[in-house]
Amino acid sequence: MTDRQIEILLVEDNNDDVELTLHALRKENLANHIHVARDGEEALDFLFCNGPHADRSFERPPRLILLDLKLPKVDGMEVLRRLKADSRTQCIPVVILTSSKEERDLVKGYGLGANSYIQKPVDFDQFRETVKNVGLYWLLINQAPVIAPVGKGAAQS
Amino acid sequence: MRTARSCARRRPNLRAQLTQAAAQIEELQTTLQAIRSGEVDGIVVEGPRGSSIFTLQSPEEPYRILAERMNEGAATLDAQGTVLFCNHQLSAMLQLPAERIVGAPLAAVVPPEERSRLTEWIAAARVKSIRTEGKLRRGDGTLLFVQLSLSQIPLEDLESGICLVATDLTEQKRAQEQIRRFSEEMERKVAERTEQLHAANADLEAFNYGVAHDLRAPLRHIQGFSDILLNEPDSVLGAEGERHLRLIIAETLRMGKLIEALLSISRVGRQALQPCDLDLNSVVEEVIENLEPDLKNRQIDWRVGRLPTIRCDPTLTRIAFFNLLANAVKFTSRRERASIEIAAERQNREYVFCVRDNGVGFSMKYADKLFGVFQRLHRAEDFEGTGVGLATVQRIIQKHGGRIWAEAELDKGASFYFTLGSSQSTEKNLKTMIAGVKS
Repeated sequence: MTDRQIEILLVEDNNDDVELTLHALRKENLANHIHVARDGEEALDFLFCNGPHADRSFERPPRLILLDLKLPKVDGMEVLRRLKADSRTQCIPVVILTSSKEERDLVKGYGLGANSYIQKPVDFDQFRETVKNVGLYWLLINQAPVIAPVGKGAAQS
Repeated sequence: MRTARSCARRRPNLRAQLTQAAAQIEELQTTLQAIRSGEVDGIVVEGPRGSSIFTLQSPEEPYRILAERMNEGAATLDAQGTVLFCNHQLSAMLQLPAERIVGAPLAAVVPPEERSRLTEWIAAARVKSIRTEGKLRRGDGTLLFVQLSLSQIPLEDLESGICLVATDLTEQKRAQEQIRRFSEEMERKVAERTEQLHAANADLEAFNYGVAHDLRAPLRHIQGFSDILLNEPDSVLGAEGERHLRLIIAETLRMGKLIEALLSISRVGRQALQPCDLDLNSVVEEVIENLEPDLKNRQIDWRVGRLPTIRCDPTLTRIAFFNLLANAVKFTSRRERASIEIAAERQNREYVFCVRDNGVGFSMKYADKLFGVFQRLHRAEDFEGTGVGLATVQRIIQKHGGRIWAEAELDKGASFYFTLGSSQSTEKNLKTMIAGVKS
């Protein structure tokens, strides 16, 4: 069922940012298997198969999370903390994609186990290039564990 | 059993002395009673060298006048601590008539908790003069802080006595108390201000965070959508429309740079110094290497002198050198052969550094604007820049307790001077001051 698998979870509250990110991903043919969560709570529901995402399974986690930090309800750092603290989600690569490059955010982000930290460039050309590189690296070059971590009692083959 | 034998031998002797002493005390008490009630003017004390007279009024001694007129309270005691004489000042200090003091043990005007100390003082004074602080009790029961000087004096006809001088310390104690209160108040104020400073800093940090996030986001969006519009395959924009769109894009990028620059200067201001020993020649080398990619097709004659190793914050010092050298590179861009010189000279307790170029320089008329944020002395189309480079350098130098200034002439190059590595930085001074106030 890999054709239905979500490859990228984009956690972003700003509509314009969502549109621009999707635009950039589309250019690289990466926008077909993407799910957008508009706040931290929605992202956690998706990742932990709760609420509207109760039918999802831990067996098919997204292969990459693009995470904004300033989010309504539950902020990005908290999302990061929760998913890195849980064995069922901790192997999913998380790329923080945010407006600022405040030192304390960098330190905290990496401390919580973020795999990468990228400041969204103002220049859209650079942004496109960045998104392309991130997609290429994490979805094609990087080797993730083949077997998804154990979750919800599902047997793995 | 020598002790027992000698005791036995002394016993009758002691008994006789005791009887004699008891008789003397009785006699003395009767006399004192008589003096107190005004019946007699003085007492006669029998001593080993005959009898002597102690009176309340015996003005014949000039020393007595001196004792009466001095500002300190004075008294003479016999070996047992009974007051034989007290001057006017002591009576005033204790708010007791002299008649009540003389003839009574000094212990009567010493608060009970100090009496054992008094015995010790008297014993000590018999060996060597002592000076100590203690408390006396006034007639109304209130306490009086005094400095007491006790020394042994030979008393005519008596074995020996003690001379006591008491200096009223009330004023001194009050001043000390005031100083203590002032310093407490000062400490409280310092703590309060520090807290306010922390709050202001937190506000500033929140503001910066807001600027970083919320002001950059709309810029990114304007830029992004303009870019998409410009690259639309079937664009309806004419050549003029396209030009305008490119201007919008360029301007948003410029504003992005301004915001970034503003954030970086604010970061420099907030960042605490983390000093270590830094070889400035290697810093300059590194900075030149970093500038290298922008130096293609440029002829630059770098003249780097011997620079010292000094104690400073490595990150901030690198930023300072980078900004100064990047400026020199920028403002010599129209020279066929640019010359940039970096030198250091020790002057007294600090080093004076100089970055000199043969670029376009500036008029000293505007020198006061040089280090202001967003101040520029050149038109944007001549030399691009955000106007925070030198302001950042100034902040870094000042944070290290140094100074920065410039000398230039229009079209004849500029020299930037700054001091670093002085043995006392401002932050250190401030810390010492605060520590001093607290202790």
